Amino acid sequence: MNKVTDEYGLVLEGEYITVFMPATSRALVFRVKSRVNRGYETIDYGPLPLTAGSTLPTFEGGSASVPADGVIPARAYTTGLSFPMDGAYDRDDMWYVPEDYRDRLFHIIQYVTPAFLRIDVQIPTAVTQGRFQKDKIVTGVDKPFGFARGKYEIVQLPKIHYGYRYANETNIDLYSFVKFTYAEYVVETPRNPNLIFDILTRRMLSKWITLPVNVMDTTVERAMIDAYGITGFPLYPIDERDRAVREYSELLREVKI
Amino acid sequence: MSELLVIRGATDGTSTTGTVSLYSDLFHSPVNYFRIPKGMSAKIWWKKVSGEAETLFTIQYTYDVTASPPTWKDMEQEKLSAKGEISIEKRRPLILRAFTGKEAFRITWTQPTAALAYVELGVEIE
Repeated sequence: MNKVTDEYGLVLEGEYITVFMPATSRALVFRVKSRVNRGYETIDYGPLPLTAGSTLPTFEGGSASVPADGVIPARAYTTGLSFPMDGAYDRDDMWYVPEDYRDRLFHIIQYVTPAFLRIDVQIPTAVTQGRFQKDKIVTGVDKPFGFARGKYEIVQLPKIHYGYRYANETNIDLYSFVKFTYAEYVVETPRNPNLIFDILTRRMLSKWITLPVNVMDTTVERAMIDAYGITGFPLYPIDERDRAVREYSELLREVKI
Repeated sequence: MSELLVIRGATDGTSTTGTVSLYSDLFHSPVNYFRIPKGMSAKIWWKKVSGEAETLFTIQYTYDVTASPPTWKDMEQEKLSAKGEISIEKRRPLILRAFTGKEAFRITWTQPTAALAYVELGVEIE
């Protein structure tokens, strides 16, 4: 726990959260005005949304049938999954919100049982983001590297469907369970370009989350423009404050929140 | 992130030797071995053995479970000398590593006379 986060790793009210994208070397900066679900930060979601009888690809190049709801077959990996929830804006993807939810930012920490399952995320769904040596090798749960295990932290941007992938390397059909620790923040973009510069040069404390976006899909770019008006603030070295502040001032005129 | 599993199995009561079918609350169906995810280790922290007669349980490990047949090495044994129960908690676990992702472990049994016997392992995958 540092000064900007609580015991869950979620950002405290009044503090800043920075969402960085490697593909563009730009970051969105938000101030957390409030946390709507303060005191109720966990969702015991249940099993992975896998339906009995559906088929998944395997490491050996074949396919495997899901033996029961929520069971990930031996040596198999999923394609991009979303999490259904009745009553949500999109009942097939509980974390999806449209661009007019731009004042809400979802910070999600996902815990998966068994914790040795591989996890990665596609942003948007079907666009695999893991890369090694530029585009030489595509990585991910179906490859030897480019994945996490058991825990995954991310920020959900509006108007984009994320696809979560899981892989089971063992020889065992495994029951699964997902728990989310999350915050629904009410956010705003700080209007002071000097403050943004101080955050992006790490002279001002902020919770940094790197979205694993190494390939900027047009869907993502369009969604960010529609939701926020910009695709982020570029990072400048510490000795280019004047240049940075000029550009940030121009970008702030475009910012929708 | 690590995961602690309790893995159980039993002799079939009719054979004097065999490989234990392993099951757990996380397993949808029993298996004859556990393939360890690449880069991770299986740490066996405790063992419980019980049964109706003398039984030797052996934990075996292979570097390549995809070979046909795999070469299994004996790693640890627990012997129940007569009807009863043994419970062993370890301060230092038996560590079985996955260097290539093809490593696996299993449990076999040997008995002078076939009888039902049970084994339980506390396994941490880390």
